[in-house]
Amino acid sequence: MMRFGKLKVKQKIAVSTAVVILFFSLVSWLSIQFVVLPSLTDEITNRGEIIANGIALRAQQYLTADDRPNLLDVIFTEKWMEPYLAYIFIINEVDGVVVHTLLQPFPQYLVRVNPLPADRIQHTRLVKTSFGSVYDTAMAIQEESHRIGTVRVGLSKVLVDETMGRLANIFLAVLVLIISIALVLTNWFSRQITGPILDLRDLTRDLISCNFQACGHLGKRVECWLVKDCSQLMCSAYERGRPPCWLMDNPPPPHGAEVNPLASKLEECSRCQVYKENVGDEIEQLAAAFCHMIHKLDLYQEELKLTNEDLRKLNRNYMEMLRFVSHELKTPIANSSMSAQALLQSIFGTLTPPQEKMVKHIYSNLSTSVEMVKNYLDLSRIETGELLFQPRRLHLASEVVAPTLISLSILITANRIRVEDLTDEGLVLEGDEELLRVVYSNLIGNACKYGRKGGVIRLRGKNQGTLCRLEVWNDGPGIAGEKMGQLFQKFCRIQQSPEGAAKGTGLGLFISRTIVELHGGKIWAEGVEGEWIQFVIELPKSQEGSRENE
Amino acid sequence: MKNSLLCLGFLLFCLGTGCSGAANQEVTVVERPGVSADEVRLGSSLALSGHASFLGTQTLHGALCYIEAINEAGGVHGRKIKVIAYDDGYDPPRCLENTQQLIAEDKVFALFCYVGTPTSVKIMPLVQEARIPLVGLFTGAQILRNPFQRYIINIRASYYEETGAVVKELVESLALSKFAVFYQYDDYGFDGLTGTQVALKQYGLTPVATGSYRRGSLEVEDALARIIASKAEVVIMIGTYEPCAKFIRLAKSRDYEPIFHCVSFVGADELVKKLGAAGEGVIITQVVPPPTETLLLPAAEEYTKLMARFFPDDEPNFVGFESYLNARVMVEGLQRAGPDLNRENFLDAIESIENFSLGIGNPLTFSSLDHQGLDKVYFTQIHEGRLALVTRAAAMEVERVRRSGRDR
Repeated sequence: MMRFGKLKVKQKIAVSTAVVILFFSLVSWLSIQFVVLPSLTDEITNRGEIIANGIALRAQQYLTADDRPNLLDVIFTEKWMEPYLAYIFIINEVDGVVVHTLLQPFPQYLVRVNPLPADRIQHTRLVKTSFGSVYDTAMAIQEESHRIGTVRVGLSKVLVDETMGRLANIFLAVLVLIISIALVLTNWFSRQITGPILDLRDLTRDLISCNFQACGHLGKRVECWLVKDCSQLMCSAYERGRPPCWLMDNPPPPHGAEVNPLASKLEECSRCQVYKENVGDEIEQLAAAFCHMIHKLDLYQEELKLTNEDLRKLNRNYMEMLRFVSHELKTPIANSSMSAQALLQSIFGTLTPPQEKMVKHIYSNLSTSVEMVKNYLDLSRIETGELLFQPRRLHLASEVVAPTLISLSILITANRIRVEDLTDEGLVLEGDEELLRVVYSNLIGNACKYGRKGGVIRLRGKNQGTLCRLEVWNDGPGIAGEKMGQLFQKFCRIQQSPEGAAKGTGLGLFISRTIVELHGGKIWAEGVEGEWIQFVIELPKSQEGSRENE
Repeated sequence: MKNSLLCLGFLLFCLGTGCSGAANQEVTVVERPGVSADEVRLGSSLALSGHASFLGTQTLHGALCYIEAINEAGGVHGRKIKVIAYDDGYDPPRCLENTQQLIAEDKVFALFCYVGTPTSVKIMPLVQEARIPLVGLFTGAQILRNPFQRYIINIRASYYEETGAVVKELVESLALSKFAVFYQYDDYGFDGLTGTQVALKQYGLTPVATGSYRRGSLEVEDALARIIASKAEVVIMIGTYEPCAKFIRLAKSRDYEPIFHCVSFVGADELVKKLGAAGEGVIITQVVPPPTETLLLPAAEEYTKLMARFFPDDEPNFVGFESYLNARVMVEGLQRAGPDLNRENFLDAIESIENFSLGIGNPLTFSSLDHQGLDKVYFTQIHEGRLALVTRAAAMEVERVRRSGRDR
């Protein structure tokens, strides 16, 4: 049963047909054995009795007259009329066997194999003789109710055996013929049934694997309805010179062309008399509908691809423009910032307190602008794929963390923040010094901006097997847990500075994540809202290992 | 799918061959009944008594005279030929009984020198069943020739050929058209009647009258009356010598004198004796030349000498001469079969005989599809109490003279 269950539909149909045929064959054969054979045996014994009776009647006068030649003539005449007669002999009550039809000395045992009882005039039984199995009929030859002799007729069972043999041969021949025809027909029918289904299955597989070119393959195996001999020139399904299977063979319309005509054509065809006369069965219709659907999907996908490409181009143009603008702004803003700083340092004379306040404000805004321009430039490089990644072995504490803290010292001091640098001094990894400084700069800068004034920033860095675990902790207000995931998205600005004055591009964490991922690492945030927040970075020590892992 | 089909086919084939194979098993065993190191037994059933005893006796004597001579010379391949002959009195059931006795009890090698159509026809199924050669039958029955039967070896021409020859001669040369048939009411007579009808049909003719008599009787009057009434010009007679002689004598006594023709089985020599002067002009077709032609025919000379030696009381005659020729063929077959004799190679040996000269000016030829060695028909006519071999033209001349005499 298990094996049968594993068969394909076509094989199941064939096996079932064969089993049914064999079952009926068995029934037929049993009926031959139990009906035909007994009736054949009855016929043989009846024939033996008829022959014996005829001989007994004709032989009576010759037996009385002891005319052996004519007795012999009588029994031989019968013998030659019936080819399955093994023997005939006549027994005289006095002399024993008088005449027989054998061409050899008469074997006396034959007399004893089927003796006729005194109280019977006829008796038949199946006996084993040197001539094989024989239906031996003994018939009394009587003269005025007095038995004067017995005629014995032996009909060979070969007749039954041969008839059964012939029946068996005919039966087998017919059986072979029927099975052959049945198998061919079931194979053909099952193919007609399963063929379109299999095609549909293949199509579905193709669809699942996003192979939208499948319609073309389908066309090789499945015939759509054929619009044959259409004489209605007004019918939209008909066009002179069009291939018979217009739906399948029609090339897809060029990009941007209207797709709907195919669907509308299908709609029209379903109402068209020509279509109705030529349409295939339900499965073929289903296949055609599938084909139509795939065709449309194919077209939509093409459109999507092209739209996507357009969007890419637009984005690229935008990024290039952003970089251009940022780059062009960077220098004048930097110069303005330096000028403001020079004014503050009283290089061009001492400022009045209100002047100094305004210049400080100008300087602060220009510093923010410089940071924003840097971020936009980084974003532009990332989006256009021009961000250079040049890893080398470096000491994190001395080459990345310490210089970053120095560059941010003004900001740190201005916010009265205490920085606890617990980075392992011997921590060495392979990375891009400049990019990692950007990451630290973003994270510490954020901690300064959004942390508590006069708070604490705690930096940790340690080995963790093949990885380095870096932490930037501060006791700022933190953010809600459900918003943690959005932190690293582009232009995301969730955190608010305590004073609400901090401004940002919303790009810092996005850029940081991009750089960390460029190193083959991960970055995430953890914390308790209103108490603390910590950014954790895991970086591979070796870039080769990282690439191998990828 | 292909594998399952092949398996199924193989299974059914095995079943089929298994079922049919058991029934077709046959073991061939070469038996040599009737053949010993120094003897070959032949069996014969023929009329040695009764109304056809002359035919049987002369058939047996004609064969025996040659066989005795062969035995005296050492036999064939060191084997003497022994002929076991039983009298059947020209009675088919007795012939059947004798033949069963010869095959079952005497276990003869071959059957030989059978006389008569009804007797021979009766034993045909027995011959087929026993697969025993039956050589040299003194009958021209068509049923023993067609359809072809391997175990029956005819030497002489058939009744069809005899009646065909005489009808052709009388229709084409003398333009006669009114033929009657007088026949023995059994297979012999029916065969001659059919042969005549077939021959006449070629000329668009049918017998104007037919009449028959019962085998073993002389009740010919009814047939004679019917034929006289038809005023037939020719009477073809398919019978034995006694009824035919009575028919001719009675006819002539009633001034009815058509052309009488008898086929060879009639026993020409005995017919001549029975008819006496009344036999003048009767035409008898023969399948062997006259044994009296000792100067022309070496076979006739040898036969005459052997008869004089072994059966001095018998006169050489057509019947005996035919049987002598049958014995010649029998011995030739035994000779060709070689020392390793059995029934099948004996038949092959007979079939290998081609253009063999028996000394009668008519070569003997058999083949695997032709078991009749001679085809020639001879015309003889009773003239002045003797049988004379005549050409067809001579026979016509006699007829012309006879007719002119009657006209006078």
